[in-house]
Amino acid sequence: MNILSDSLSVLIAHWQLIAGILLIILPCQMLVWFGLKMIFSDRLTSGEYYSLSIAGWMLPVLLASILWLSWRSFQRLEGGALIIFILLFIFAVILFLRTRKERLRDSKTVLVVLLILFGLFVFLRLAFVSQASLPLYFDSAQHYLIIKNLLGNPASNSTTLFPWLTTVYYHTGFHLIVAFSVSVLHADIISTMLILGQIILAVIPLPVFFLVKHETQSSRAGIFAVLLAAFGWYMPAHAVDWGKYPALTSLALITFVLSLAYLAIQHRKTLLPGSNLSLNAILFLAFLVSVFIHSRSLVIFGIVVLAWVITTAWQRLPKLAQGIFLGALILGIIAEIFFIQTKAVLGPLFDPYVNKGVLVTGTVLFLTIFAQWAYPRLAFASGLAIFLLLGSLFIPVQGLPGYIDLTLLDRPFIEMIFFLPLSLLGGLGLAGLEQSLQNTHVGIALGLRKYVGIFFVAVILINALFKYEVYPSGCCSIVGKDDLVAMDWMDKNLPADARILTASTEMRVLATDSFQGSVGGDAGIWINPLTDRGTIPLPYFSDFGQQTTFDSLCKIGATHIYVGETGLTFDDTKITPHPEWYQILLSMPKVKVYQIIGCQ
Amino acid sequence: MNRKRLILGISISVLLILIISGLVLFKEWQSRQAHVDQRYPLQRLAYCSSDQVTPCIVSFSLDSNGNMLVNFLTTGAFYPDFYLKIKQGEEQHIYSCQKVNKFATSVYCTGAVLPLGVVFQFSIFSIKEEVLLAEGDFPIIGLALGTPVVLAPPTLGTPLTPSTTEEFPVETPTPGQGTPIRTPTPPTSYPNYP
Repeated sequence: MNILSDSLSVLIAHWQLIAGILLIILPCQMLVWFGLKMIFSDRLTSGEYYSLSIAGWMLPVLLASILWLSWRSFQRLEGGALIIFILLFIFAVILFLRTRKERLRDSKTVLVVLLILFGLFVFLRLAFVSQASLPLYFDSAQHYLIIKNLLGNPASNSTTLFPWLTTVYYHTGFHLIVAFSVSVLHADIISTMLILGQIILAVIPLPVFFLVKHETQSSRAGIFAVLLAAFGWYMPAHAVDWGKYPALTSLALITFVLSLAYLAIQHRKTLLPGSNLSLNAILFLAFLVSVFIHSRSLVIFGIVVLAWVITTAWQRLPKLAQGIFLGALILGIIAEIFFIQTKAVLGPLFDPYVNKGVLVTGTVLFLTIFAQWAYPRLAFASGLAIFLLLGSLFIPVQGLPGYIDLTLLDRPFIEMIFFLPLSLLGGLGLAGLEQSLQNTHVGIALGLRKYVGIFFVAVILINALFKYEVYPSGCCSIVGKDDLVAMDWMDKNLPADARILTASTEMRVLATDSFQGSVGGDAGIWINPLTDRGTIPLPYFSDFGQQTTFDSLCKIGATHIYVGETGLTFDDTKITPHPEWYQILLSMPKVKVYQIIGCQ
Repeated sequence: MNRKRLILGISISVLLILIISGLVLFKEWQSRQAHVDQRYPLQRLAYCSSDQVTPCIVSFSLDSNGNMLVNFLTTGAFYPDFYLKIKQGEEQHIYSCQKVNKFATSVYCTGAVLPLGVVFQFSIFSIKEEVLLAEGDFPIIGLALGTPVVLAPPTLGTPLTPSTTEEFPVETPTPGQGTPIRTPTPPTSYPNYP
């Protein structure tokens, strides 16, 4: 009940922004829907078109965002976002008028169910925003800063046209979409990040419907796969707690690209040359945009292509050899799981799927037997993709400028995307189980085929009812209520040239357990984005009571120290005994702002 | 087919009307809650707790100018601008309040420092209509001390233990050099649910 009232309160408070974002999605979705309808006509159902287009909306919106940014950069003019948005609408209407004569003759029930599911997902995800003052974890501060820079006055930047390309590259697609939305809707960045992030989360499960439905012709299995992807495990939703907005944005688009590639292979012989060309052009564009939104998408596509090629070869083998290879694949995955468990830094990888999601994963494993029996090609490819995903944790990447000790994928990304092959296997498995029941006398007599889907959907929903969390996780909240006041106070009271020391920690997410840079430990990471004051990150365990430490602070020109409310903060007990070095400026119960005073 | 479409159209229209009516009614109800010109039971003012009844007081703080900061949590942008009055007997103090930039739910009031432990009457009044919004009696607890208590005199130039770092890099500090006093346990980057 709390979730409903919290979601409703967010809906009331931000209804204009929510409606605005949905209004931006609408023409983009229409463009993809009608664009694909021109190619496939009535070969796809309305549910399949919906599933594809809700994932593909990011393609037109990102292209529009790039166009908008180019306009701003070249013309040095504010605005233009609204004009581009109206153009999107006009294009969508033109495509609609061109395709409206080709009516789809399928039942619209599935489309209505998918629409209701999307509405429900968006509504439930909004509860998250009710308890988040700021997007969570240290990544979010960086995202905010990039978006703020993108929205900066274009006339003020006279030296570079695209200043964001010259700074540290950070998967700029999500930032472009937020900046474009902020510009169209005249909204604030923080609310747009929070709400768009939740809407993207609501979108992610829906494209899974297409692959399962198209392969199995079972809408029930497709909807089951959508529910699995949405509420089966706490991933990928937990990635919002990590501020992994770009990676989340890429997830829906990855499924879109895979679906288009699947369609291109399936229909390559039946489509007209012009339609084939159009499909491949959209596929290529979606591929580029997906990699632009998150470069690790490239690795995912590589893995899927490899899995597909191997699966095609596997299918040509005699049955016995197929069985041997299948057995080897299962053993390989088990071996990888055991090996990963021995690496402490990778330990958390299976938490969403084993420790907290054992019932759902167990259900999927059971269904996988039927998936392999009824749909061996996709099931084997999914299994192989799982094997390659886990293996990519250990494959080093060298030669990338600015990166050392890199592997193909890191632990958080695999943890996030693991839901995808599992959801596919679950959906395929349910369709396989339905088929197997249809072939048995008992199944036919009792009409089990109809009820088995309801049973598995009920399992997922009941599990979600008791276990699923839609609110921000305590693990990753690094900003407290006092932090917000302290930052506002600093903005109003500290000099513009202040250089504030903030607590930082180390990032380690690769199998090598190597140090990958400093990241914010507490709310101090938000000082620069929100107050424009310079900050100097320092390990959170620094001992401010030491003379040498103090001398170093003087040497680097630090003027203030920020001790945050929550997260990995500086040890205040090492600072307070030295009033001759550190004068307290703001003293809150858990937040402190000190001025460094004793430097010569 | 046409009949089906008609039913579907009517259903969607009814659903839309219901949603819009619900939203309008809820908004009206919520705005009535925030209205200051009508008679409603006076809201109790207290420290914030897990039940999140707003407005409530998050904390008391001190700044270098000798001011006390009272940190409030409110319902958000729609909550009227207010000022704080703190009374004890005949003595009363007025605190001006301001919303935190970009975070409308956080408001802080600045004014004179008051002693700990003494029960005061806290009242917030809307600036526009001068109407009492919430009131409560309680002591100030947990006021962060502005003047730190010096636990031990510092020994300048002779550190007790070796330094954590000889020199702090400005951009990318490398932790782990030397012997830190507080031995850090390497935290998990991107932790799972606790």
